[in-house]
Amino acid sequence: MGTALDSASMKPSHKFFDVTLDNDLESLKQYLSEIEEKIFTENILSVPSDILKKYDRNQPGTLTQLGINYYNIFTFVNPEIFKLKEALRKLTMEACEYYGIDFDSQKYLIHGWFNSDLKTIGSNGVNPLKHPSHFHDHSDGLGAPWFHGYYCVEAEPSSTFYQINKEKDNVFENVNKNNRAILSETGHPHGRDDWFFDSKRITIAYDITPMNSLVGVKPNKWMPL
Amino acid sequence: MYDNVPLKSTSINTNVTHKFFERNLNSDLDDLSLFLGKQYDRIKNGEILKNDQGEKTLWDTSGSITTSKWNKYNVFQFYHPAIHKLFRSVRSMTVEACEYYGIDFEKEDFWVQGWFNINYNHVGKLDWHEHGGSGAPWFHGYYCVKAEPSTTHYKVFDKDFENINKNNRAILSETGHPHAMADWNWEGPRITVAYDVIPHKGIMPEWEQHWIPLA
Repeated sequence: MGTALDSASMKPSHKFFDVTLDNDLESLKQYLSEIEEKIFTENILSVPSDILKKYDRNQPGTLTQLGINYYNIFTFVNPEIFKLKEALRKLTMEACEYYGIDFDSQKYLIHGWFNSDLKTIGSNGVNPLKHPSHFHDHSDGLGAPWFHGYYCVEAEPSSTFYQINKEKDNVFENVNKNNRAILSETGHPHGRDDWFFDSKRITIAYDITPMNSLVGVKPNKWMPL
Repeated sequence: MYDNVPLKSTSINTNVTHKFFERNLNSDLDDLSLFLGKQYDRIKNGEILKNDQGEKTLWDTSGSITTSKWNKYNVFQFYHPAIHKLFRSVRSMTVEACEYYGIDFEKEDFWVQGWFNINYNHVGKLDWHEHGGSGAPWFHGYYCVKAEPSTTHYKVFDKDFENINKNNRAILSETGHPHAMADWNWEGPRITVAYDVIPHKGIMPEWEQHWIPLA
């Protein structure tokens, strides 16, 4: 099938790219659970202690914030994480082909982290359809060649909502499937549904960016895709 | 000439002729030298490293801080086009090396750790050393940013081999063959980027979290 064009801008229409892996999710879940514990009890991320104290692990988004600031999940030596990075390279190549971007010349880098969220209780709801402030974007919402996505480790049953083209009335519900990685250009704000189960909702999220947007940035977080 | 007595080859692949794999890149080395110089200062000033307690290491005699602290960062997490190109070249050399040694690249799940060395003629040097593992699928190599004219000595199955360095060339060899930097008799820095490539099974859980999937 050919590329679908957005009639207004002649830019290809938004598209999700996805791949289903055959990772051992029980093993990955166990691994991430151990990492989470060590982040808070052994400070394996070397977060300054006065800053780490400010992070409440029982609040939604805590690990996400730590990930954004202090680590790259793809430096954690684990076979399932390795397979995910391998798959994301291929997925990004596919997305580049769709948008007419030369993958090699972008010199892509990736930064990933994991989200481990507790059951939604009381006012902790994050469903962006009820709380629009939870719609958020990545890489300033610039669109391709900037990409973002996530991989579900344990996120069934749940959905993630996307405001396509930032249009309030154009919401797409992405029904999550475990072991599936998705990739989307940025520029389409999104937010996850609430989670109503006792077990944690676990996903791995990632930003994929061309190198030229990181010129002059302090190194040590992103890595080549 | 050297403080240490050269070690002997420990490669188990005695039935395969040793081979260097190489790639000639066309990166802007002046720009890369400047870039690495800046990162050297950042590391010296403690801006980048994690878990650095200022411990003494086996590599302090190199005179290069970024060598001493090689496992406290990964040079492939520095954002420069030449570094990105080198990363992809290390991968393609590893694929080629695996074909040569009859190893299934996909099954090994290779990870890479990279660092950079900045040496001066009046401050230390990289003496005879090895990088762990006993030959393929354990690999090691280096990329010359500013290392002409110079050589690197190898003991390959107990024969001496002199690798004449060429700027902008990356090489890869199986481990198990000791090597040492020859004298650097020139003013200014000698700059190289080095890397270890090892299979997933070879990474110890207690190692620092700076390895990157060679995917």
